[in-house]
Amino acid sequence: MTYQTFYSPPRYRKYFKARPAQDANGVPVGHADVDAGFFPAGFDEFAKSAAGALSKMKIEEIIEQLDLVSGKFLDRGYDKRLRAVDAISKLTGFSGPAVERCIDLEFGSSRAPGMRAALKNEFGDYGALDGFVYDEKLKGSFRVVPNAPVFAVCSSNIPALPHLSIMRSFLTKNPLILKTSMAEPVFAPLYMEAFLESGLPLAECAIVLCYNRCEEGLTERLIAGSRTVIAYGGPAAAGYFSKKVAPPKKLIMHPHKLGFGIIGKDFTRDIAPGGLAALAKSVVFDTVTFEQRACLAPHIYFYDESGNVPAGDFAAALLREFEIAEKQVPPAVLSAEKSYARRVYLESAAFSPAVKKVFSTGGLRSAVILAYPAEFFISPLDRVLHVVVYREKEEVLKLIAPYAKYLQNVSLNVPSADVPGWLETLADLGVSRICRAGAMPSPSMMWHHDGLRPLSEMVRFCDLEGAAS
Amino acid sequence: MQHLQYSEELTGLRGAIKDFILNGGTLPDKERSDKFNELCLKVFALQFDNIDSYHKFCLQKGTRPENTALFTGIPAVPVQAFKAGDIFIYPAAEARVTFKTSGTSGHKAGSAYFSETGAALASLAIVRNARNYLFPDGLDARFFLISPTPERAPHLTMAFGITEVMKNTGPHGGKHYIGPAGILWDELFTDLKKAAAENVPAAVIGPSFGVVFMLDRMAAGGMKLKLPPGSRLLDAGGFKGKSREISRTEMVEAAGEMLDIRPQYCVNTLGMSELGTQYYDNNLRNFILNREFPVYKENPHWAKTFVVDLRDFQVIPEGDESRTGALLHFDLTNIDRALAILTDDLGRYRGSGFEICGRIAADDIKGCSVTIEEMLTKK
Repeated sequence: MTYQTFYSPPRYRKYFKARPAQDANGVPVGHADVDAGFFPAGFDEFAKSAAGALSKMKIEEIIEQLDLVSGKFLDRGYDKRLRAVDAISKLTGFSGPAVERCIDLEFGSSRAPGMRAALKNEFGDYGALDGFVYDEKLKGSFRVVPNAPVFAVCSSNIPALPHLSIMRSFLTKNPLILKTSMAEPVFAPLYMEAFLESGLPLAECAIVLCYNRCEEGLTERLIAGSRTVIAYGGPAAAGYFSKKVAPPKKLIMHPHKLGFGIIGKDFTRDIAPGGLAALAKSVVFDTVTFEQRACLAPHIYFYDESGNVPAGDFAAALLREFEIAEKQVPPAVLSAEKSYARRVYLESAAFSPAVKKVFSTGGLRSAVILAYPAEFFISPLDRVLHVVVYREKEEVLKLIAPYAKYLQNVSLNVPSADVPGWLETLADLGVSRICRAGAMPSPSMMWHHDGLRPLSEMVRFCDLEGAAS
Repeated sequence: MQHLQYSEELTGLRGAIKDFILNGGTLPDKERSDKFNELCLKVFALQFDNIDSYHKFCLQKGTRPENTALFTGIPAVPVQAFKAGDIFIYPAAEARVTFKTSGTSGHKAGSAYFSETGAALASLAIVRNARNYLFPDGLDARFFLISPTPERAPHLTMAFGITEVMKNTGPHGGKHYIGPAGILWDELFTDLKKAAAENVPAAVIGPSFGVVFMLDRMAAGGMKLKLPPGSRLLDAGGFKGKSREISRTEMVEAAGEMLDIRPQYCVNTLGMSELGTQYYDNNLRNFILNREFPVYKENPHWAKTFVVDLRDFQVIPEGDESRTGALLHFDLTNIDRALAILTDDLGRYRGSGFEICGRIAADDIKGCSVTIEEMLTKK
């Protein structure tokens, strides 16, 4: 059965010309070209109509619809989930169990309570999305107004990630046009089809497109018609969108960033029997989930040996957990070139005076590189974790400071007394999320991704002050 | 370790390799391959004992000289390892020549160290191979080197190699045409015209994109030269995605049009900072010797190249020309560094040698070609 790489509410399908299915890594995908007539008539009609539909829906209705679809994707027997797992695995190389885990994590944090918490966190009384609500602090009322429509450009590094842009758009009552990655164009259409098949009104509120990035003309027209642009991507994408999206349009850029972990002095001193294995298991969970292809995963764990087991023992414990993880969630299948580059990286590491020892599982499927604090080691990804042994906090700071603008998630594992000092330092450096080992891949919906309030960035506020009310 | 170079054993091994380079080619096949194997294993033992990081690397693979009977079992060092640390049988400070591999943003450059005698072995191999593949007819040519002098660019392997060829080949000498201010275009064209007038065949040698620069400049200026018969062109490396888009066929056609150099006299060579040996296409040799061989890079008898599967690092059986993989070189002139070098060149077997199909994508490794391009494009 062909996987469509586009989605449109039925009444706009006349603006898309389907092409014959093509094979992409064994997945039959059906692309569609945007008809010239879509601009401006079709686009404007969609934006206006979808905005009207969202405006009429109460925010609680939207939450219920989103929750219903999240629940479907958490059902392991749901046909669209099964199809998504199969296709994403073939397209991206992620193993089937890895894709399943990603879907479980993504949608597990996308349930109604999480959505309400995120809305409350950002807006307080989120009824303001439905109309003016009283605010005691303001001694008046305020209203949250969508900055619509939204154009989102998604990446393929995390399976099922595109749903987040769709969900955030709907939670802020924004109609959305989403461009998927050519490397993984199937999930977003499947997600929207789930609304359609369930007869949910939100099915009318998004269009999903897939086209080559060299079609800049199309991107520029979509930017021109939008008020909010969400983009994931590397330096080239960041440079492009920062030039093309000028105020009053809003750009929410999610550039490439990275994560790391810290296991501080004395952290394992009073650890219970089996605690070391549990800690190693958590670190491996951080590393294996997303195969390190996200800023939610660590390149390095900094490890202070003082008051802890020797780093070599910790590395050995990690290796045991990697072996277990390989059976549960097999590593991704890499292209020949990537496989070669990763292996060459591991073989070359042995020649670095900064490397103490390279530990690896059979066939180099997972590896731990035990190293001195000589540099901030950037992993070639796919289960290559550096454990950098340090003695003083300053050694860590010296290594991470040059990468400040790339820092995102940190797994901080230090005794309670040492936490405050680290928190302030990491926050100052630009880290946007700090958690414990094992929690890196599963931020809450309230996370300030890239230090931003993701929902607030997509709306405008209108205040009605006391006297006027 | 600092007295290693004076040991009798090492001196003897160097002498044996030198003798093999000079005379091994005439040995019967079996004797030659046995001798190659024997020398490789001796070099391996030397490197295992004297390069700490390599020693550690081999032990991790469970390989030691005493359990290695065939040279193919010698652990290969990826070229990236030269960026990670020093790979040299002496302390780095004792290097006579250091060739740099180019780095990119965020990645440091690597260093390939050569001792005095290691550089001499490399020179011997380079000159020997140039005679076989660039001058198989024994022609005496004047050299036109689109390169700085080794003194000006002491870390550039190409500057070293082609200068050694010039110094050791023929009576006419030649010149380097990259100075402190860039390419000496006027001087180059004046000297080429002079060679044409004097009927002295020219050997124009440069990095591939440097040759393209020259031909482009001639085309732009409407300049055409009729170089004497036997004149030849040697381009080194390739374009590596950095020069203007041009195929080698186009370059060879342009050399015919602008310089009157026949296609058979246009030879490509592969050189790497980490290797003492340079590998030449056999097209001119085929033409001169009237051989009906396909064009490929031939292994001299002191080196051997294999193709390695990108996924499992296993050597693809020789003769299987259908599969591409990473090129793996065993080079006896690499007595100072690592005998076996695993590269980022994508290639395949061809005839008794190999051909290069490009670079293995998604990596930052570049060759000397780019280093010179950076110098050229500054002007």
